[in-house]
Amino acid sequence: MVILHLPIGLLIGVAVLELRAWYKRRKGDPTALGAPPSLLWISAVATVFAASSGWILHQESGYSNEDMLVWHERLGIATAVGATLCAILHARRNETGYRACLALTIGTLIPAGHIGGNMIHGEGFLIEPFAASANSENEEFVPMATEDPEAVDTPILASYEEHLAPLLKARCSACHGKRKQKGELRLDSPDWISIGGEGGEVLTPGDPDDSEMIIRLSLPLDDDDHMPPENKRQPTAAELDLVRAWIAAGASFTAPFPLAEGAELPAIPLVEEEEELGPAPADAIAALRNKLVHVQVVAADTNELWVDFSAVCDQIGDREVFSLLAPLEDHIADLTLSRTRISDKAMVLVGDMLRLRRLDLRQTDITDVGLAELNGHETLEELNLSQTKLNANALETLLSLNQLQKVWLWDSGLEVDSDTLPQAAVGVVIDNAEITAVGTAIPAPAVVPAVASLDPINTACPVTGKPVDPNYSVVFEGQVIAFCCPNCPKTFWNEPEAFRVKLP
Amino acid sequence: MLMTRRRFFATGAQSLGAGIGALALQSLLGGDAYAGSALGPTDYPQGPHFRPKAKRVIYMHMEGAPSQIDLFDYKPGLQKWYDQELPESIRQGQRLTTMTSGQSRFPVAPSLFKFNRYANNQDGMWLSELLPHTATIARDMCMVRSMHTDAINHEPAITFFQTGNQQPGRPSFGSWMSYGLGSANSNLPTFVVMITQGIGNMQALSERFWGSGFLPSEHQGCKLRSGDDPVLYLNNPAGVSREERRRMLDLVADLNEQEYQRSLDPEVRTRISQYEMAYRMQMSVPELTDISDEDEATLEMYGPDVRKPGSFAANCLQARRLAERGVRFIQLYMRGWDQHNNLPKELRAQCNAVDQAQTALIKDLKRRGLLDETLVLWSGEFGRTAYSQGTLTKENYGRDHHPRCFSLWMAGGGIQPGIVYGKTDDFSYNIIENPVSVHDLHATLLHCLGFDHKRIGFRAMGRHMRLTDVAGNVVTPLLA
Repeated sequence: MVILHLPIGLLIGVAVLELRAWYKRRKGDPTALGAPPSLLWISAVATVFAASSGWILHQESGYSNEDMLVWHERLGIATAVGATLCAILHARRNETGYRACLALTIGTLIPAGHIGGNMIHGEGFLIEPFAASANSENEEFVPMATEDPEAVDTPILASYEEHLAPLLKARCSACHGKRKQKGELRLDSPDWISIGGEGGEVLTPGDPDDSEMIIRLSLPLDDDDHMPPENKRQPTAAELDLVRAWIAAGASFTAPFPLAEGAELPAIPLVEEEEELGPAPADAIAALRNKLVHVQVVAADTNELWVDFSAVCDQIGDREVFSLLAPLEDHIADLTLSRTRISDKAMVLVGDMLRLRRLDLRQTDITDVGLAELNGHETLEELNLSQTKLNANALETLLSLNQLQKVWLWDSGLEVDSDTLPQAAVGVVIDNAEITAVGTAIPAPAVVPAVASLDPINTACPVTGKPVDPNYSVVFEGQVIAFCCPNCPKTFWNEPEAFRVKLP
Repeated sequence: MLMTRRRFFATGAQSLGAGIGALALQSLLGGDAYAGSALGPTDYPQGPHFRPKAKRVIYMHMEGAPSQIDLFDYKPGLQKWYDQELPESIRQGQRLTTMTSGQSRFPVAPSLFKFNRYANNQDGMWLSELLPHTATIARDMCMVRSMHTDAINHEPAITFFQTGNQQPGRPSFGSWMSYGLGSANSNLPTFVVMITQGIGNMQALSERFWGSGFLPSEHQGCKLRSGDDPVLYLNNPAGVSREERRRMLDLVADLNEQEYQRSLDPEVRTRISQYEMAYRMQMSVPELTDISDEDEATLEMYGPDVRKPGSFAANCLQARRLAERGVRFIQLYMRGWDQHNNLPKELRAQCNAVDQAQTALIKDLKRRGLLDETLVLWSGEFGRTAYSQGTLTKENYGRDHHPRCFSLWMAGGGIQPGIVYGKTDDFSYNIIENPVSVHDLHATLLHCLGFDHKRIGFRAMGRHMRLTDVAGNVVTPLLA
């Protein structure tokens, strides 16, 4: 950048000094001196250096807009030649030539610099703040591709329903939704969004920069108040623009709103997108293994994890659960905490595990209070609560689990049968494991039908024609064929087709 | 150990193991995402191919082969065949053992025992009066009456059942599972074997039935003995403290690690990890075998023998305790089912020893929510003949080995509960519907555990080796 800006500054400096000298001479001060020759030479050398480094950079390519680049290069070279000529003419004391040349050089310098600026900062960086008064002068020496006029005329329209709602659902509602309301905030419906959270409203319609939502989204990633949290998937630039444009347009839940000029609609996040899960952090896996805790991917085709504390259950309490499992919160699909020393506190973390399908809390001190952390869990399918310390309040949690297929409640303090749990209709198996039940003996039927008839179909031996002895029989094509002696079956098997006619 | 040419290539060829091939592959792939563990050779690329229904196996092997005709495969029609010659149409000249092939006649011996039909999830399950407790879990049992095997004598038949091959030398089912699933409890062996002595005729029980064959030897079964010393030589000798033992192990591990760096032999790593395992087992095994934390009702459920170390009841209780501690493959051998003669008396005694205990195991697993994730298998190595071996009387008979058909039952993880599968003929001699081979059974069990039986393998002796060898089909009607 010094290479770039130095010649611009130097040449303009030269021009200013010359103008000042010219002005002073006109005021009657003939001794007024213009730019010193050393400055001129430095300018010339710096300009040549800048132009040639630009030319080298171009050879190595990099910029997409070839048109701009070519013009920048031509004007740059012209400036370099001009600056050198200025220095030479000045040295030869050719005053007229020097002044004309300096004017021309400045004339090439300004558009060269401007195109350079466009290339770095994007087209129209200079005029954007004054966009209302489009400057036609600039276009003379900025021969670049202009924007599609139609795009400017009809901005892309988006709406809360079609674009914002799915975005908020995919990126926010896991923690700010039906199941969880972190910061007392829900973002899953217009009403909830309007109410805001414990810190007040999250939107200032018309003013994105004053809206808590945008402020939180824009904080540095490592800031504790940044949303979504650092370890969660972050919104894309297009998604941020969408939210910003929505608030700027008044944050209406019904009226469509235009996107900022040039902005594009982000792809609508699908809920399935949530399923794509990267590998779990290796250091968290290693930490578990160092403690001899079992951890394994559920299957080869997924990054979801099964974590089992059985081996070291008597050393595991709430603190261990938090420190070991918090980094794996999103990955755990199967969690065995049976016989550990956890209390209800650990359930705060367990309730946050969005992919949890199977949870084993057998023989722990979990009560209905801890269990309530699972309220409304959307993926839990199997829940082992045998030998826990529940009471009747736990039923409320069980009723709120809409994916629950199996729950074990033996010795849990909660007595439930399928009549009191209406979910029986959706296939919940309440397995209190009645252990004293005696198998019901069904009386034997009087006659059990034979599964295959053992009676020979023939009375005469197909080989000899003599009466048969059932002890010498074979099964042929599903039927029992008897013979008169042990030798005849061998004869028969040699050529069964020949004896077929002898069979009844 | 010298690095011979043969060892070098063998090591390199164990592409699934910790050999050179694996090391090279791992460095090429930039390492496995979970290769951060300090646990040594158990870091194979392991785990199920797809989401498993079962996480572990409890395999109750009835060594000697219980009689299917007297326990499971009800043949009321045989009563009128008492002492009549087994029809040739049924026997079809099939191979017999030399114990009965010389008999002048093959008199049909109907079962002396009454059968009842118990409610299951179909139209009922027939069970012998010898198994009154087991009858109470008919709704949980999946009865297969159409098993068949290739071998006709105990040793090859058990070897076939355990390893998928009649010749010794292949890894046993438990070793395959240790290799495939890995350990879920680093303080205990992955594959545990417990043995109960039977009442009657007992066949030899070779330790190689739980051998690891060509798999690294850390995968072989660990036998838990009954009594005060469940694992021999586990405790420190008198005068050696735990701290001293720790220092010794650290030094030995250093030396072994140097040897491993030189030879790259995975067996050295196995040795290091087994020393560490033994050290941790000094704490975990006494905790495991101390049943003082079991409540009285539970002990009562398993029956009076439960306090007698080594009894089937005691071992069933241990099996549950091992299951809840994450041990992957628990194998209980019950010896003494080989009733060539005196079958009625001996069978009754054998059934008495197992009936209540095995029922309690299923119920105990079930109420704790463990049955759903534990695959339970109860089987002999073959069946027994419909005809009597030796003298047949109204009160007594014997039965010879019969590989053409036999029954087994399963329960738990991934298995369809409360069904009966397969049919035999009126003499329980030939299968007439839905035959299931030992390979089919293995393929089905592997499926429940999340494995495609064709993909879990190990390269040895110049080819890809599998538990199901080159056969086996998953029997889908048996799956839940």
